[in-house]
Order: sequence, then C-alpha cells, then structure tokens
Amino acid sequence: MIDLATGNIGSVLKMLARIGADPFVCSSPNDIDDASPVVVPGVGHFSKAVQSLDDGHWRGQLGALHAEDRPILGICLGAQLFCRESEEGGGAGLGWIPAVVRRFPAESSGGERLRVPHMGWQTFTPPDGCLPFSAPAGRMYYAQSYFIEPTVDPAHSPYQSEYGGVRFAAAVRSNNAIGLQFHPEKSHRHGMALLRHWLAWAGGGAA
Amino acid sequence: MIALQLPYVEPRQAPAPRVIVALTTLDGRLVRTTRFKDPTYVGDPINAVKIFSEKGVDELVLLEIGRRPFEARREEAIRDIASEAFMPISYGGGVSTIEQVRAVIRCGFEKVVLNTALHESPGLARTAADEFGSQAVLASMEVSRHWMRGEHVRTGCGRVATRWKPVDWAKRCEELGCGELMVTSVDRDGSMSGYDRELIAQIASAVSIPVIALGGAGSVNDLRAGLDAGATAVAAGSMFVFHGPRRAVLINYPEAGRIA
Repeated sequence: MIDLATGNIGSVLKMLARIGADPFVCSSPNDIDDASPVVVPGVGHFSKAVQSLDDGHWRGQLGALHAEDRPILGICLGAQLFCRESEEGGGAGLGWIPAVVRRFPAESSGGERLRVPHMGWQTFTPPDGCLPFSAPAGRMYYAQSYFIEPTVDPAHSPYQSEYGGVRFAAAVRSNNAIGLQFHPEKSHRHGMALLRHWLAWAGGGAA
Repeated sequence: MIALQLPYVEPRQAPAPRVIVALTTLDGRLVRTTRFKDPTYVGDPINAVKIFSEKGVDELVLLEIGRRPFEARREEAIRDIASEAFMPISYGGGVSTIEQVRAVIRCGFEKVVLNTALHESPGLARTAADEFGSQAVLASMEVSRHWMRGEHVRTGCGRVATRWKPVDWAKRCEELGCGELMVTSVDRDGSMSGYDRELIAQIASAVSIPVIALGGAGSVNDLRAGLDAGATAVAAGSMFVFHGPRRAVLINYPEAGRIA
C-alpha cells in the first residue's frame, strides 16, 4: 500500500488484513518489493495527491510497475489518479486512463437539483468477464464530488454506473491496474468479497 | 475470433437513501438522550458499533456530547470504535482544529462532524475539505423552536442559542465548505414522534449538498416521511437502540430495502 500522505489508509489496511492479506505500507517507492500487488488508496484533493506523487518521486516507479503488468488497485481518488487530469485542481495524473475527472453538474439530466457529493450505496452487478477477476454481486459505497468520464475505448472503463443521469466509470482498467470509484473497504461483506477476489487474482498471498 | 467488448453499465436503480445510525456517547459511554438531556446509559460503544457493522448498516455517526475537550485519550478510544466499522463512520464532538480533524480521520473515520467549530472557527471546514475532500466534512446543526425566540439554531449539544435562522445557517454551512448537512431537531431528540418535516423540507430546498434528518424518528414510517420531506438520508438513534414500549435496549436495524 503506497502512502501518499493524503487521507485515511487505515480503513483499507484493516480490510486487507481482515481478508488474510499481509499489507505493508510503503512510504517511498523503494519500499515496494518485486512481487506484491500494489494498492493506491486515497481520499482528498486531486492536486494534493498529484503533489505527493511528485514530492515522493512515485511516478517513475508506478509507471514502471504499470508497464510491467504489476497488479495495481486504485481506490476512489487513487483511481482518479490513473487518469490524465481533474477538474478538481491542477496537475497531471498518471495518464494510464485516457480520461478527465469531472465534477458532477448542479443539475441531473432531468433538470433537477443534483446533490453533490454523491454519497451512498449502489448495486454492484458486473457480469463475468467485465473485470479480470470474478466479483460477486452486492452493493458498494460511493462518496464522490468528481467522477471519471467513460472512456472512448470501453476496455478502459469496463464497468460504469450513473448518478443523476450522469454516466461515470465505476471501474477503470489499464494493463493490470484496476481503479474503483467506490470504497470496497467501507462496503461490508460486499467490498470484502471483491477485495478477496482481486487479491486472489493479483497473487497477494492468502485469500 | 474478435469479441466485441462493451462496457457494462449498472442498471438504473431506484435511489437507495441511506439509513444512518446515530450513536451518542457521554465521556465515552454510550447514552441515549431526550431533548439532549437526561442521558441514559445504554452500553459500550465498541460493542454497539461492532453489532451494527455486522448488521450491515449503511452508515454510522458517533457523537460525543460531553464537554471535555478533544484530547489524546479520546483519540485512542475512538480508534478502537472505528476499528469495528466496515462501513462509513463519522465522528463529532469537540473537534475544533485541523490537527483534531486529522486525528479523527487517522483513527479510521471517513467524516468529521463539525458543529460549534463552524461558529467559532469558520475557516476550519474549508481547510479540512481542501485536505480530505468535502465528503469528509459533515456539518451538524441543531434546531429548536422557542415560544419567543422562534425557530433558531443552537450549538453545544443544544446548550447554546444562536441568532441564526435554520435556513440561513444551512446555506452558511454549505458556503463554508461542508459536504453534507445533518439537521437535528432538538425538541424531537429521543421522542420517537417523527421528524420535524417542515424544517427538513425548508433546509433541503435551500442547499445542494446532501441533507440528513435526525431527531424524532421512531419507526420505518417516520424514516420514509423524512425522505418524502426532502431529506437525502435519514438518521436515528433511539429507534435502533430501544425496542418496545418499555424501551428495552435492543440493537435493531431495518432490513435492506425495507424503507424503499
């Protein structure tokens, strides 16, 4: 788990430990070992996270891992960092997903007031083959003011959902980097099952 | 063979409004109050949060109503509580500096609840939102109706009256950078007689951030009425902790979908 010093990595660590993984926190790129799957958590502000990517010299290392198909899981802001840029603030993301992170509009597609942030639970029913690992249906918790726009190439945003009629990428993929807009670590047994399946696919030890 | 890959789009779904469990502690002990007074000891918060987590609750808000300042000892206590939660959990009570906000988030809470601090340190909400995102900053406002003063906002767990009218204060909370607003009717706290629907309707139409109703819910019908009045999410305490006419302590929570 890389620590970008933004927000709360405790919840993700707790959930990973619960499913039998043995997570360790990397405070610098040198801490990442040769085999373990990598988690990029994140709550907070896009620009600040980008700043941490630069200050901590994470870009080169993460880019190399991405290029060599290391399993990488981005959660919420972590997933948004996989994209090119964000309306939330300046700075370039990692650019793996050719998409821009946008703010939800003030009105839904039906012209009604859209409450932002989008906070709450949505069903999660991706069919087999949608994600590289099987993921049992359930419900997942979202907390987002910004969303990843669906990509032109559906392979980059294989799983989508919508809020107020606004379609967004709920899961993104580039090589073996998977980004999730929702919070599996806060989604009870549903999120637990998803992380367990991801970990088994990613080869992260006991799962 | 080339497979045509299309994205899978989650089917359009009826909104599933959150049903939030609001727990109050007094100096770390789980209590229930009536009109924010007469605290009754009901148990241990760690155990309660664990049970609610196992029941799969949508979200939980933990509010400390004691007057002691937020200190290191409390940080330890709330970390133990958060460690039992596999759902979003918020903490409020005595948080007045950005260092304390960081401490709460570090303990494993997704959101920090601000109330008195919004009056005393108006810049805090924005500072916290810039660091953690506005979804991590939950404003809590307490409203009371007074025969002379009229409807007004109170702070300090109902102890202190302010000059603010509810709608003006709600807009102010949004301007200050809060990402969500919990509206508590002081008069209905612990009454299980239903939400102040008029209040919720007024506030829901005044702001664009999610609005949580709290104070008065005693039944699933009350929860539904709160949503019908315009609340984005509904919260309750007594209803989930007490059971039956004799108010025996029994943790309960409506099954998923029961209020939809």
